[in-house]
Amino acid sequence: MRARKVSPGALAGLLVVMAGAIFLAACSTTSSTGNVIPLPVVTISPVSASVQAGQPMQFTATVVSSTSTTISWSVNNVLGGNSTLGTVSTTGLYMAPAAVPNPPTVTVAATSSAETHPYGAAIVTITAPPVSPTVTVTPTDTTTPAGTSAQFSASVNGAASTAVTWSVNGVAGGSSTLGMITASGLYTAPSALPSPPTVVVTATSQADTSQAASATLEVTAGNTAPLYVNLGPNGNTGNPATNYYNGLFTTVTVCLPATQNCQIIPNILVDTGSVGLRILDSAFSTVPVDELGIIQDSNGNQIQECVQFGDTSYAWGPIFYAQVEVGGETATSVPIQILGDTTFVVPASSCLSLGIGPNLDNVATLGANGILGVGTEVQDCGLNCAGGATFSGYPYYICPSNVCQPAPVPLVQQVANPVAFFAKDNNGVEIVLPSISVTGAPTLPFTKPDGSGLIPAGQLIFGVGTESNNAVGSATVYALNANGNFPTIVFNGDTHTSDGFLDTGSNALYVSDPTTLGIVNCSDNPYYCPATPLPLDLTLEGANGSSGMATLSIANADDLIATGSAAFNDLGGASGEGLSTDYFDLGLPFFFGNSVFVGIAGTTAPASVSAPNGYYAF
Amino acid sequence: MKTTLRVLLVLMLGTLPAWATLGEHEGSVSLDQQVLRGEIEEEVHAGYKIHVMITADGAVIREYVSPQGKVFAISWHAHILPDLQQLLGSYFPRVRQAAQARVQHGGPLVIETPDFVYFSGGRMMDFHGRAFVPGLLPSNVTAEVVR
Repeated sequence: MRARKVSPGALAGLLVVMAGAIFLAACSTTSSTGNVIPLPVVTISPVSASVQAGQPMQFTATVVSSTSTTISWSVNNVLGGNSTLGTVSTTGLYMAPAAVPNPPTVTVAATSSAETHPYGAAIVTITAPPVSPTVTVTPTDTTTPAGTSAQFSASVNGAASTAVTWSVNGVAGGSSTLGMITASGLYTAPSALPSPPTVVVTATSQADTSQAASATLEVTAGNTAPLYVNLGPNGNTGNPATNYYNGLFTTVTVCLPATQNCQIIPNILVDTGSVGLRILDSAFSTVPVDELGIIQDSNGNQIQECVQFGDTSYAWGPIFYAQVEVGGETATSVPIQILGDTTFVVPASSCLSLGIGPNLDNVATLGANGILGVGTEVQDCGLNCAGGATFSGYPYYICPSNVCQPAPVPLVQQVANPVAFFAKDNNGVEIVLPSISVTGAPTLPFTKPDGSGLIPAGQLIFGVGTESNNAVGSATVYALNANGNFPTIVFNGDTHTSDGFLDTGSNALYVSDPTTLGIVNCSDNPYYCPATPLPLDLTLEGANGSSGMATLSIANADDLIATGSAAFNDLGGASGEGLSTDYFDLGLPFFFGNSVFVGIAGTTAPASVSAPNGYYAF
Repeated sequence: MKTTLRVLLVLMLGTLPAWATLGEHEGSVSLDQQVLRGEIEEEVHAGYKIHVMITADGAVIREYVSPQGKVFAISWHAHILPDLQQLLGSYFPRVRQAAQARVQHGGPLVIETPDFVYFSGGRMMDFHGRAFVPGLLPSNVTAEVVR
């Protein structure tokens, strides 16, 4: 029925009290005169709702009435509600109670002030608010040496997802200065101590980013730097010729002496066959090279060096004092060489004629950002370069007015093995490389995609027998001869006394020649291509009478390279003509699955061995 | 090994037995600058002889000479690479070309061809190498003598 306008006089007679009615909609009643008088109609919206405890809900009421449109609001018949049931304002704003009532449903009503009190009502269900997730992290406080890793774990309670985001000092994923942290909470401390050395590791709930927990970690001065085999900075271009197979790399930090102004430089080749740190000028971006400590003679001429390598390649550049940090160890002031700085003249008549191979003055030719020589000597030249009757006229020069001439340089100014200048762990190094398959490892480190295994990065551990992680144990000590080599290597029944050495800076086992071994060279690369893997058994002897067998293998280099891998324990190449005078350049393949110590001449060798020229131990 | 000839004074005066080039006749080329401060010894063997230069800093350079006076091999064991251009003469371009064309890093430089065999390797401050011409090896002399 529809309401109709009636005269006020007639309306008075239409009021009818109808008790117990819930809905008074368009009803009318009949007056004594027989006219239909409509009653007020109250409609509430919404008629049902679900409201979280403590949250508001706006209701609206529509009144159709000719007498009064005044509405009063109530909850469960309590005018304005209360703190248990929830309150409702005069404008219909319902506020659910902080705690869910029992029972959890209430009735919100809008009542007309008209005499029959028509009203509209809504059923409201109050729901519990979601619990804020809580995050915990373990361990809460720990230490780890520079260059090593620590595993954190996080638990999240009260959220649908347990996923967290890891950050170090607020930086998601960490950074190369603070240390990196993976999505699974594995933190790896940087090689150089951060400043300050304590970092904050935080796990933040991804379900509720306002919930997080933190732990503190102190990076302690360690003695270990990670070693990588990854095809080098020119690798992975699609052109195998630029891949640096078995190139062994680490990261070093070079600072202006006695300052915090440092450059972190990755892709530095680790070379037990040479001595001294040599870095491309191009590797420096934030540290100005010309503010390193200049080394000059008594007339103010800056000392420059022409350094040569066994394959006739060479490098030229000035030498400087620098602060060098590797794996938590620090050499506060050690001479290093800077390569490829075009402001320094390369002498036409000296360095170039002696070095007929390529000039290693850029990343493309060097295959690295630099070389960290950690061999068996302290200086790269020694007494022969300091002057006097034995002066060899090489490799140091002065270039007054850009005309270069050989110059003697005292020992303290010569480019030196940074290890010998560490405050501790300074008597040598230990090279630890994991075992790998005969078909090679894709890279070092390498995590199998199916999670079934990990080939870890190698370790460059500083010191021999100085810490708990560099004990020689049962390794055999081989004292080296005056040239720093094995005095004798027995191969194929022949005794070779022409020196052999272990060299992480050589990327293959360079032994003998194809004819003697009964194999062939590869046609399109400089390595051996035997039809089937060739076993190589060597007897290595030390100057102290020690002796040991090395069982090696040489595989087909074409097959190895075709795997796309970076690290091989069986890459070989020619080293002579099959003569008894051939040399043995046992490169990186020798080191996989081994811990090899390289001891510096002049230090005390293990097991009371006399080793004035240094030693190997494995 | 008995020193048969001490020539230091003679070297300084410039009138000296010449230091020759691979493949050439001994005495064909004058002495290189760096040799001036060393001693030369002559070793006589069956079928050939060796001029041995021991420099002041201990480097050893050997020149192998046939009975006809031809230099058929050279070898060195030194802290620095010797002047290979002078020692190798006409064979030097082949070594330079091979050195420049290398793509590998580390390891020795080896050339094995029927008319020229070359090896240079070793480590910084401890280089060794040799070169010989197979066709110039005297009769009854093998490459084994080159060390």
